[in-house]
Amino acid sequence: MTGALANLLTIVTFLPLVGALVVLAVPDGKLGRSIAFWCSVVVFLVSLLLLGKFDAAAPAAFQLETNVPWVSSLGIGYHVGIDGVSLLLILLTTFLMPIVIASAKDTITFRNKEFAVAALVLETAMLGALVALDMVLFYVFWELMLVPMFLIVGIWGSENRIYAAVKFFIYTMVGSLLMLIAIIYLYWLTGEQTGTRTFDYVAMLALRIAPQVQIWLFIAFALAFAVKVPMFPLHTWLPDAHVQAPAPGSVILAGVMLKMGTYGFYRFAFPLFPQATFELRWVIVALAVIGIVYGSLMSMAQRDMKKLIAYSSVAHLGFVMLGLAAFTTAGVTGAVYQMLNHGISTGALFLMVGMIYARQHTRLIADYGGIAKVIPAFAAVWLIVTLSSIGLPGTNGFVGEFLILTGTFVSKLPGGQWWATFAATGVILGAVYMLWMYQRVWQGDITREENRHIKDLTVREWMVLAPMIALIFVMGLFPTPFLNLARPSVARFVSLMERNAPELAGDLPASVAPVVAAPLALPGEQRAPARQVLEIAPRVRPIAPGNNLLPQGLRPVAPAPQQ
Amino acid sequence: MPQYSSADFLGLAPVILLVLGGLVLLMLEVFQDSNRRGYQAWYTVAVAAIAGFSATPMLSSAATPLLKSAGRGSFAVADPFAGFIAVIVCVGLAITALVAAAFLQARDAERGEYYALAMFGAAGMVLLAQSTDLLSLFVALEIMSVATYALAAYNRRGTRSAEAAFKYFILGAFSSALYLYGAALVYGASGGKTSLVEIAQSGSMGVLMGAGLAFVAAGFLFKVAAAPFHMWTPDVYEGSPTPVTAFMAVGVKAAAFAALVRILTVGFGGGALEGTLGAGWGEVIGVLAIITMLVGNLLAVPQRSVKRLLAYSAIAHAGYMLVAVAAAADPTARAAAGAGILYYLASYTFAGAGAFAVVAALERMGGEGPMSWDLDRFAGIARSHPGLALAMAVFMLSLAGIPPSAGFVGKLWVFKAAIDAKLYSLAVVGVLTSVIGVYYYLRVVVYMYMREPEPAVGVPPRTRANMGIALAAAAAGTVLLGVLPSLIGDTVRASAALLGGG
Amino acid sequence: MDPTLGLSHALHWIVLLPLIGAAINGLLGKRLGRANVHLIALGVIFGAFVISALSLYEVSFGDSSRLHENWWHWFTIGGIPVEMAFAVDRLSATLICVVTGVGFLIHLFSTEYMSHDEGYWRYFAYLNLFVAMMSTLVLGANLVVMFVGWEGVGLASYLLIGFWYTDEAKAYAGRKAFVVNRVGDFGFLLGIFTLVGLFGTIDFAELQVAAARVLPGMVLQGGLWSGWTVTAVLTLACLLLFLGATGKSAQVPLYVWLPDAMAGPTPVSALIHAATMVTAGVYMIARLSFIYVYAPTAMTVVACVGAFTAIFAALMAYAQNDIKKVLAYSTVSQLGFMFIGVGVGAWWAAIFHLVTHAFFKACLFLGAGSVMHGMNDETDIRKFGGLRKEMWHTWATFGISTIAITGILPLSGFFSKDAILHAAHVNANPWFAWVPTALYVVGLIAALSTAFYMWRMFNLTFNGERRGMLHHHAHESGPAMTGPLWVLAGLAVGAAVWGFPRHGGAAFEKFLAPVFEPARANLAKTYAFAAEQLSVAAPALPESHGFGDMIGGYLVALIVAWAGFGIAWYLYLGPGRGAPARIAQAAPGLYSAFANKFYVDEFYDLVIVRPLKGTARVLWQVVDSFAIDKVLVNGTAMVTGWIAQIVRYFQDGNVQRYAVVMAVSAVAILWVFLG
Repeated sequence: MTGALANLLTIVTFLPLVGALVVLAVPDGKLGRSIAFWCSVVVFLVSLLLLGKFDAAAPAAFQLETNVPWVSSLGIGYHVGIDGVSLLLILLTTFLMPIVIASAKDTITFRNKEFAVAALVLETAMLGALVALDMVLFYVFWELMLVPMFLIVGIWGSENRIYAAVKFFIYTMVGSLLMLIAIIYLYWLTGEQTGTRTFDYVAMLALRIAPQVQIWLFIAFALAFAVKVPMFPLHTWLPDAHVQAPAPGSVILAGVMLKMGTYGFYRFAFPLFPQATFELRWVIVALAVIGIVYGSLMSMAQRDMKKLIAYSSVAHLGFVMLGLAAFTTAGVTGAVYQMLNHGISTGALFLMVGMIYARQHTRLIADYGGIAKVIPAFAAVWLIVTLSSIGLPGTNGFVGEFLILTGTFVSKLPGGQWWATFAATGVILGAVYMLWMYQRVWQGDITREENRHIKDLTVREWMVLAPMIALIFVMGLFPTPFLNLARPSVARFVSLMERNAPELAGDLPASVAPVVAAPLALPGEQRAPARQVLEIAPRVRPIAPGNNLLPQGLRPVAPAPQQ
Repeated sequence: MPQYSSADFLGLAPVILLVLGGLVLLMLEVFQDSNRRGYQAWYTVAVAAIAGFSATPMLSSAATPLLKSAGRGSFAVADPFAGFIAVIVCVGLAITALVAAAFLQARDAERGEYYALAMFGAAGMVLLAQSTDLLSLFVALEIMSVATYALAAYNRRGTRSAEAAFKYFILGAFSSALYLYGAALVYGASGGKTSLVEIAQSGSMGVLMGAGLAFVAAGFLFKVAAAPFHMWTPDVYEGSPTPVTAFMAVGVKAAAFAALVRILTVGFGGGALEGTLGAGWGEVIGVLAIITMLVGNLLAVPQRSVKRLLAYSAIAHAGYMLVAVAAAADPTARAAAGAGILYYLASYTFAGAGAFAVVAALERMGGEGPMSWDLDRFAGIARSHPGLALAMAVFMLSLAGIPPSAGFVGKLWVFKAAIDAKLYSLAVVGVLTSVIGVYYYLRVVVYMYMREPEPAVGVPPRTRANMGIALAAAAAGTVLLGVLPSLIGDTVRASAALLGGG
Repeated sequence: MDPTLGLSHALHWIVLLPLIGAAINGLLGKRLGRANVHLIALGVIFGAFVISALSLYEVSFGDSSRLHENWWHWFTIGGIPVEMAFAVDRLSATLICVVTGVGFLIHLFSTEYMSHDEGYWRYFAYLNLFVAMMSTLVLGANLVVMFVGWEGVGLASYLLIGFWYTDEAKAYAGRKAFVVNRVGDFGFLLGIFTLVGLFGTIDFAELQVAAARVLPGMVLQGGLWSGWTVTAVLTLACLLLFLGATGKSAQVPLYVWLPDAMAGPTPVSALIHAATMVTAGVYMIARLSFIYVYAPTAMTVVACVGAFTAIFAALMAYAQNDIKKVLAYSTVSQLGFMFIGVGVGAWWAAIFHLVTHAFFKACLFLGAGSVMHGMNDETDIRKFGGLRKEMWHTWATFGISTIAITGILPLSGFFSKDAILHAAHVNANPWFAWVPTALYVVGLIAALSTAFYMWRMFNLTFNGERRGMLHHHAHESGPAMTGPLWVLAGLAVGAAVWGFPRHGGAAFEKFLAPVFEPARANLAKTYAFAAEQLSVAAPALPESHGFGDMIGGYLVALIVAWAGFGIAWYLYLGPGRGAPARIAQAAPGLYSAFANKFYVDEFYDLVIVRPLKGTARVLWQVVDSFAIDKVLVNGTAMVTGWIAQIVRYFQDGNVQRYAVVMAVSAVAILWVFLG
C-alpha cells in the first residue's frame, strides 16, 4: 500500500491511459463512454488522495517525487513531482474530466468509443505535463496533448473543423519544436557544467547561463508557452479551435490546456532564465495587458457565443500572465487562482453553450433573445457563471482579479501602477461584453418562434453544472484552503525571482510603516474574538528598525494607541 | 592469395547466410510446382532472422578486421556499427518480405526470384556496411544495386515499373561511375592506397584527394537520395512495386548511410583535409542536408499520391540523417552523430517500411493505376479498417517526429548531435522543416479519420494475414522504440562509440 | 454572558438573515406561495432591523463605541489579511438602521404594490439580496468588504432595474446602470490599491491609526510611493475613491444611469435609488473622512462636483413630465447637497441630510408608486391633476414630504439642507478662498430650483383638475401602502428634532462627533500645513453653531424656499397658468435642451460608446482576422505552398535532365570543396 501510495502521482497520471486501453478493448457504443466516465471519476477520487499526501508546509520544493532513469543512454529520467501549484492544476484537471465526459452524452453523437479513448489519453497527457520534472518527459506529454485534441476537434467538430484542427496542431507545433532545441541546448550545457548530461529540470535550475544565451533560450521557451496561453498576437488559433471544437473539447481546451502555457511560464520559462525574464519582462507584461484590453474588445465585436467566450479567454489569461510577471506574492497567488477560476467559469460557459447548441443548433447570439422567459433555471445558472466570469465579489473570479491587480499595482514592476490601471479597464469591459451577451441572448422579447419551446436543464445537465456552480461560490468565499496549498510554492517562486533581481521582483513594503498593535482596537472598541473559521494568516507585522519609513524629522504626532 | 581465417567467415556470416539462403531458394524454385509458394516469404523471414541473429555477436565484439592480405589493409570489418546495420537490414528484409508476400499473392505474381533477389540485395547491403576498402565497397555497392535494379523491374506487366527500373539503372550507373572516378583519384592521390585506414594514414591530402573524396561521396549521396542527387527518387519509388520501394527506402538507405559515414569518418575524418581545402566536408554535407530537408519536405506538400509523398518524405529523412553526418565532421561529436544516425535508421526502418506497407495494402482498392495511391483512397478507412488506419496513424506521427514515437527519439538524437557539434542553424532548419512535415503527414491522418469515404471507390480489400503481421510488427517496433528508447539506446551508443569522440 | 458581547457576535446576522431570505425565496419562492414569501422576506428584514437597532443602542448608550466582528478570514493580499469583518460605530449604526428600517417599510409597501406580478418571489429575493449587500457595504470593517457590498448592491440594482427583462429598454437600463457603476468601481479599486501601497492595510481602524501617525507634508521614504508627499498620494487616492462615489451616488459625470434606473418597480426606486444605495458614496467619504481631510484638493473637488450636480440635475428636473424622472433628478440633486456637505467637512450635516432625505424621498417615491398604482401605472404628470380628492392619504404624505424636501420650516429637510449650506458658507478653505461663497450661491439656486420643480410636480399631480385619463377613477391604495407612507412622512417631520441647532450644535452633530473626531484632528494638521505653506494664519476648525449663528442663513433659505413655491404656484395654479407652454414655444431650443437632459446621454453615446464598438469591430476585422490571421499565419502556409509548386517544375520524369543536374551539382560541390 505504501509502495502504491509512494507512486501515487504515477498512478494518477497513467490511470486514464489504462482506462483508454480498456475502452479500446470493448465494442463501439455507449459502453466505452460509461467506462471512460467511471474511470475519470476514479482518477478524480485517487487524485484527492494527493491532498492527504501533500504537505504544504514541507520545505521541499517538490513532493511525492519519483525519479528513475528512463533512457539512461541519453540522461532522460522519469522524474515526476508536484508543488502546490501543479497540485491545484492536477485537481482542476481531474475534476473537470468526469464533467466533460458526462456532458459528452448529448454533444458527441457518433464514434463514442473513439471519443472516450481520446479524452482519456488527453487526460494522461495533461496530467503528465503537470507532474513531469524531466524536460524530455515534459516535452513528450506536452506534444502528446496535441494528438487527441487534434482528433477531438477534427472528428467531432463542426463545419470547419479540419481547418481548425490542423491550424491548432501546427500553430502549437512551431513553438514547441524551438523549445525542443532549447531543451537540448540546456542538456548539452549540463554536460559542460556538471560533467554529467541530464535532462533533469532540477539539475537545469542550477545552471549558470550567460545572459545573451538566456535571451535566446527564453524566447524559444516563451514562444512555445505563449502560443498555448495564448498571448496576443499568437492567439488566432484559439477562436477557430474553440468555435469548431465540440463542447467537451472546448471545455478541456479552455479549462485545462490553456493553463499549460501559463504553467509553463511559471515552472520553466521564468525560473530557468531569470536574467532574460527581467530583460524581456516588459514585453510579457505589455502583451499581457494588450491581451486583456484587446481580447475584451474582440469579445465585444463577436456575433458567435463561442467566439465571444474564446476571446474572453484571451483577456482572462492576460490577467494571469500579468499577475505572474508582477513577481509579487499577491500577483502570483492571484495568477494561480485565476487559472483555476478560468477553468471553472469559462469551462461552465462552454458547457452551457454546448447544451443550448444541442437544443437549437445555433451559436449565433442573434438567433436568441428573451429565452430567459422560456428556460428560467438555465438563465439563472448562466447569469451566475457570467458574474463569476466578470469577477463579481463573492464569486471566485473576484479573488483572482483583485489579487492580480493589487499585486501588480503594488509591485516593483516598473510602471506597475500604469499596467494595473490599464488592466483594470478590463474589469469594466468584461462587464460590458458579458452582460451585453446576456441581454441579447436571454432578455428582451422572444424574436424567433422556434425559441418559444426549449426544454430547460435536464437532470444530467444539473448534475454536470451543479459542482461548478458550487465551486464558484466556495472558491469565492473560502479561497484560503486553496491558496494555502499554493502559498509555499508561490513564495519560493517569488523569492527565487527576487534573488535574481531584488530591485525588480518581490513584495513591496508599505510606504508608511503599518500599525504594530495586533489585533488593533480603537479606544472604547469592543471586539468579538476572531472566529477561527479558517486558518488565519499571521496578523502581526512587527516593524524592523530599518522598516520604519517615517523620516527622523517627522515622527508621528499622534502615537499609536497601545492596547 | 590472401589467407581466409575462420574469423573471416564468422565476421561475414550474415552476408554468407543471406547469399546461401537466396541460392537455396532458387534451387527449391526449380523443383517446385508453381502453386505452392506460400512458404517462400516465411522462408525469407527465417533466413533474415538467422542472418540477423548471426550478426548479433558483432554488436558486442570489438572491431575485427576481415579479409586481410599481406601488405595491405583489410577489405572489411566486423564491428558493432556494421552489426547494427546488418540487423536493421535484416529486419527491413523480413518486414518487406511479408508485405511482398501479401502483395504478390494478390497479383499471383509470387515467384522465388523475388525473394532471392531481395536476399542478394540484403547481402550486398550488409557487406556494404562492413566494407572498409574502396574496392570491396564498390563490389558490395554493385551487388546491392544490381539486385535492386532487378527488383524495381520485377513487375513485368506494368510499364511504370519498367520505366522506373530503367531510370534507376541509368542514374545508378552514372553514380557508380562517379564513385569509381573518385576512387581512382583517391588511389592516385594516396599513392596506391584503397583501404580507408591507409588512406587516412597516407596523410597526402590535397586537391586531388579532395576531388576524389567529393566524387566518392557523391556516389553514396545518390544512393541515400540526398539533394541534389535525389531527383530519381520520386519516380523510382513511385514506379517500383510497393514492397520493393519499401525495401529500397529502408535497406538501401541504411547501408548507403553506413558506408558514407565510414568513408567520411574513417577515411577522411582526420581533419587533415581542412588545411588544404576551401571547406571541410562537414560544411558541404551540412549545406546539402539543409537543401535536402527543404526539398524533401516542400515537395511533399503538394503531393496527392501518398506513395509519391512518402518518396519525398524519404528524401526529407535522408536530410535529417545528413545533419548527423555533418555533425560527425566534428570529432568530439562523432560518436553522438553515429548514434543519432543508427537510431534514426532504426526508427525509420519500422515507420517507413510500415507506411509503404499500408500503401501496398490499400493499393488494389478500386483497381490499379496512377490514382490508386491517391489520398482519396485513404478517406474514411478509419471506419472500414480501424487497425490499418491506426497503424498508419502511428507511422505518420512517428515520421512527423511526434512523441511518444520512435521518430521523435530519432530526431532527438540527431538534433542532440547537431547541438553537440554547435550546428545550431542546422538544428533550427531541421525543426522548422519538420513543421512542414507535420502538415503533410497530418493530412493523411485527416483523410483517414475525418473524411467520409468516396462512394466511387470500391470496397477495400481485406488485409491478408502476412500483411497484418508485417504491419503489427512495424507498428509495435515504432511504438516500442518511442516509449522505451533504452531498449536499443545503449547498443546504439556502443555501436557508434568506435567512431570516436565524446 | 454580557449581552452586548453577544451582539458583536451577532453582527453578521444583519447580513446573513436577508441573504438566507433571498436564497429561500429565490430557490423555492415559486412553490412557497405569496404569503410565505412575504412572511420570509419581511421576517428576515425585521430581524436584521432588530439587531441593527440593538447595535445602535449599544454604540449610543452602551459602554463600547464600536462593535467589531471578524466573521472569517477571507484571503491574504501578500502579507495583508483580508478579514470578512464587520464593524458598527455610530455612523454605520445610523445607516444600517435606515437601511433595514426603511427597507422594511418598503418591503411592506411592496407586498401590495407587487400583488399583481407573478414574478413576486423573484422580486422579494432580489430585494432581500439588496438589503444584505447594502448591510455589507455599511458594516464592512475594511475597504474590501465594503467593496463587496459596493458591487453587490450594484448587482441587486441591476437585477431589479431589469426586473421586467422582457422589455428590451428596461433590460438595457439595468445593464447601463451596472456598467456605469463598474466605471466607478474601477476608480474605487485603484483607490484601494493606492491606500494599500501607502499604508499597507485595508482595515478602517488600522487606516485611522496609521493616518493619525502621518503629517500632510511628509515626504515618503521608500515603498511604492517613495518620494511622494502624503498629501499627494492621499489626494490621488481620494479622487480615485470619489470616482467610485460618483458612479454609485450618481454624480456628474456618472449620474446618467440613475434616471434610466426608474425602469425598475417604484418601491425599488424608493429603496435603492433614493434612500440607501445611492448614498453609499456619501457614506464612504464620511467613513474615510480622516483620510480625506489630508487631501484638501480632493475635498474641494468633491464639494464642487456636488454643487454642480445639485444645480445641473435640478435644471434637468424642470422640464421632466415623468413623475419618477422628476424624483430621480431631484435625488441626484439632493445627493449633490450631501457631497457639498462631506466636501466642506460638515460630515454630520451630510449624513443628517442623507437620513432625512432617505425618509422624505422614500416617501415621495412610494407616493408616486401609490399614484401609479391608482392610475394604471401612468407616470405622465400632465395627465394627472386633482388627485387630492381620490387619494387623500397619498396627497397628504406626498405634501408633507414635498414641504420637507423644499426646506420649509419646521420639517427635517430644512435643518439638514441648511446645515450643509451654512457649513459650506462658513467653513474655511485656505487653498481656494472663493469656493465657500460659490458653493453657497450655487446651493441656494439649487434649493430654489428644488422648491420650484417639486411644487410644480405636486401641483400638477394633486391640485387643479384632471387633465388626462378623465374616465379613470383613481382608487386610493390599501393600508399596506398608505401605512408606510404615513410612517415615513412622520419620520420626515420628526427627524427635525435631531437637527434643531441648540447650544453646542444639533443633537445629531453631537451624536456623531466621536466618529469624526479623528478627522478633525487630522484636519488641524492640514490647516497647520496650509498655514506654513501659504504663510497665513491657520484657519479655525469648523465649529458647531447654535441657533443664533444660523438665523441669518435660515431667513435666506426660507425666502428661497417660499420663492420656489410661489413661482410654481403662479405658473401652474395661479394666473400665470399656460405660461410654461408659451415659454416652450418662445424658446423651443432651450426647452428641448431641458427636456432632453442637455443631450448628455447622446454625447456619451457619441464620444464613448460608438467609438468603442467601432474600434472593436475594426480591430476584429482588420487586425485580427486580416492582418494577423490571414496575412501572417495563413500567409506563411500559402507561401510555403507556392515555393513547393515552383520547385516542383524541376521534377519532370526526364532522365537526361536528372543526370545533368547530378553532374552539375557534383561539379559545384567540387568547386565549393576545393575553394
